[in-house]
Amino acid sequence: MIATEQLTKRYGEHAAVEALDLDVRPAEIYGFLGPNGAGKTTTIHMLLNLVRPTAGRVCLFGEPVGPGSFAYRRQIGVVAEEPVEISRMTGWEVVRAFARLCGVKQPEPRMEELFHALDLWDAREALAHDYSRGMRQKLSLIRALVHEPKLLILDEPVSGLDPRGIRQVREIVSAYQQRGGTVFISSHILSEIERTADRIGIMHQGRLLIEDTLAGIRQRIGRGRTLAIELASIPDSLVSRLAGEPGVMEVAVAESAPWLELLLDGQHDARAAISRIITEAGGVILGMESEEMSLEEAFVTITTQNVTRLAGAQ
Amino acid sequence: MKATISPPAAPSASPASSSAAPRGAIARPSSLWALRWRVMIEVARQELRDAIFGWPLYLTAAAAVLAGAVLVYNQLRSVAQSGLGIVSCALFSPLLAAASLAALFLAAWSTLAIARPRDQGALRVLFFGPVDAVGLVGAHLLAALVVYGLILLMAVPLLALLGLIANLPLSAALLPGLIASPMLVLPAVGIGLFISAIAPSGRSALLLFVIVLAFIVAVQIGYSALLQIPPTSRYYDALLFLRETARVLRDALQWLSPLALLSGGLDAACRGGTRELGLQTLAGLGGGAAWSALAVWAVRRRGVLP
Repeated sequence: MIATEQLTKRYGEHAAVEALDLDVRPAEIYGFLGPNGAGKTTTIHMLLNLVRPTAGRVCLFGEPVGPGSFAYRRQIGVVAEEPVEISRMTGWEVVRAFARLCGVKQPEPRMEELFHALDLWDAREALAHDYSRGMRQKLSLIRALVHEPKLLILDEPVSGLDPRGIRQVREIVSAYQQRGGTVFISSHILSEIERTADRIGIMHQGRLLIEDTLAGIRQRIGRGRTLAIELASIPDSLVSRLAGEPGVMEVAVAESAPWLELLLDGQHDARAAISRIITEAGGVILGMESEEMSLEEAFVTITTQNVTRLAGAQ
Repeated sequence: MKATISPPAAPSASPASSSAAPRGAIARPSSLWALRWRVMIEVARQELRDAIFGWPLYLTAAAAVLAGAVLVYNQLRSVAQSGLGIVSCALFSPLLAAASLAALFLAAWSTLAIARPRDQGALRVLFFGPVDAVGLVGAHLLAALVVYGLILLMAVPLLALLGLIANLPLSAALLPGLIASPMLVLPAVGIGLFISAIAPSGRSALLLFVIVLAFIVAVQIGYSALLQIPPTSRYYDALLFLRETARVLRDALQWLSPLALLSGGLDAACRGGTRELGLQTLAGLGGGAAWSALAVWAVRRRGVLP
C-alpha cells in the first residue's frame, strides 16, 4: 500500500529523513512513532507529494509518486496535526465541499453517519472556524473519511480530544480497518498505538530504527516481560540460580518484602523453569505477576539505544 | 456511545459492491484535466462564497460607484462653467475608473489568495485532496473573473442610471469594451497570484504588491515630470537617458500593466477600434496566461506548506 525506497529529505546539511524504507501492507494499521523532530511529518508530506524528496522514491497503491502526481490523493484521507479552518463555511459545508472535490456524488448519507458517530451532528450548522480544537479534529476525521479512501493517514489524530472523543476515533479507525482500509497513524499517545496498531515503525533522527509487530519489537530488543514473584521467603542460593537460567536477564530483590523481580527476554518463556527452580531451592510461591514490556518502554529503550550509538559513533 | 460507522469501501469496487449502487461513489474524471476542472470549480466556489460573505467586495463596488459619480459631477460642473460639453463617449471615464478599481481590488485579492491560506496552514489541508498548482491557480483566476463580473454588475447599472439622470447616457460603443474587460484584467489577477505564490508570507506578498504598484505609478508620474522639463533647461541633456528609460518602461507597461490594457481597451471600444480592442484583449489573455504560468511555477517551487 505504501512503499518507500531509500527515501531521503535533506534541508542543507540537516537530514530530516534518511534512507527510509517503509512497507505498509494493505488492511493493516501501521503505527509510525518517533519523538519530536524525528521526521514523521516530513515523511507524511513526502507521501502526499507536498514535499519533494532529496533522494529515493515513494510508491502508493503500487504506483510511483512522481513530481506532478496529485490524482492519487483522491484515494487517501488525511488528518493533520493542526486542524485548520479559516473559511466562512459551516462544518457540514466544509465536509461537503471536500467530498465534491474528491468527486463524491452523494456524500450526504455518509456525512450524516459520520457526524452522528463523532457527536458533531448538533454542531454541523455552526461555522467551522468557531469549533473548538477537539471539534475541528473530529471534523478533520470526517473530512478524511467522507470519500471512503483506501488509505487513511493520521497525524496525531487524537490530540485535543477528550477520552470520549479518543474512544470514538479508535472505534471508527478499527471499523475502517475491518472493512479493508489501511491506516498509517503517527501519534505521541503510545497507548493508543499499542492498542490499535498491527505493526509499528519507530523513527529517530530521520532514520527508521525498527519496524515490526509489538511482539517482534519486544523480541528484537531482547526484553519481553517483567515477572514479579511473591515468596514466603527467599532461599540463599535462589537469586544466583535464577540469574543463571537462560532467558533471565536480570534478577532484583525487593528491599521491604520477599519479592523477586525478574526481567526476561522475549525469546524464551522461562516461567515454568523459574517455578521449578524456586521449588527446588525450597521457596514457596505466594503470587506471580507477569507484565509485558509496554510500547512506551520499548520506544524509550530503542531511541535511547540510538542516542547512545550515535554518541559512540561521534 | 458506540460508534456505528460504515467503514470505507475501497473505491475500486468489486462486482458485488458495484451492483449495490454504493453511496458516495467517486466519479472518476476521464483525464487529469477533467479532475483539474472539477477542482477549479469547487475551489472557486469556496473562494466566491468567502468573497460574497466578506465586505471588501461591496466596499470596492461602492468605491467604484463613488469614483464614477465624482467624475460625472466634474463633467457636469465643467459643462456648467463653460456652457458647452462635447462628449464623444459618455461615461467613459467613470466606467474606466470603476473597472480600474475593480482590477486593483482583484490584484490585491489575488496577492493574498495563496499566501494567506498557506500561512494559516489551510492550503496544505486543501492539498490533502486531489488539488495541484494548476487547479489552484485556475480556481483563483475563475473566482476573480466572477468577482470582477459581480463588481461591474453592481457598479455599471448604478453609473448608467446616474448617466441617464445627468443626460450622459451610457454609450453603446463602450459595451464591447466592457464585455472584453474581464480579459483585460486577467494580467492583474495573474500578477497578484504570482506575487502570492512566490512570497514567503502573506505580509511580504502585500509588501511586494505595494512595491510593484508604486513602481508602475512612479514610471508614469516620472515620465510625465521629465517631459515637463523645457529644452532650455540646463538639466535637459543630462536627463535625456533617464527620460528615454522612462519612456521605454512606460511603453512596455502599456502592454504589461493591466490598468494600461484596460484603459487602452475601453478607449479602443469608445473609438470603435475593433482591431485595437482585439489586440488589447489578446494582450490581456496572453499576459494573464503568462503570469498564471509563472504563478503555477511559483506554487510548485515554493510549495504549499507554511
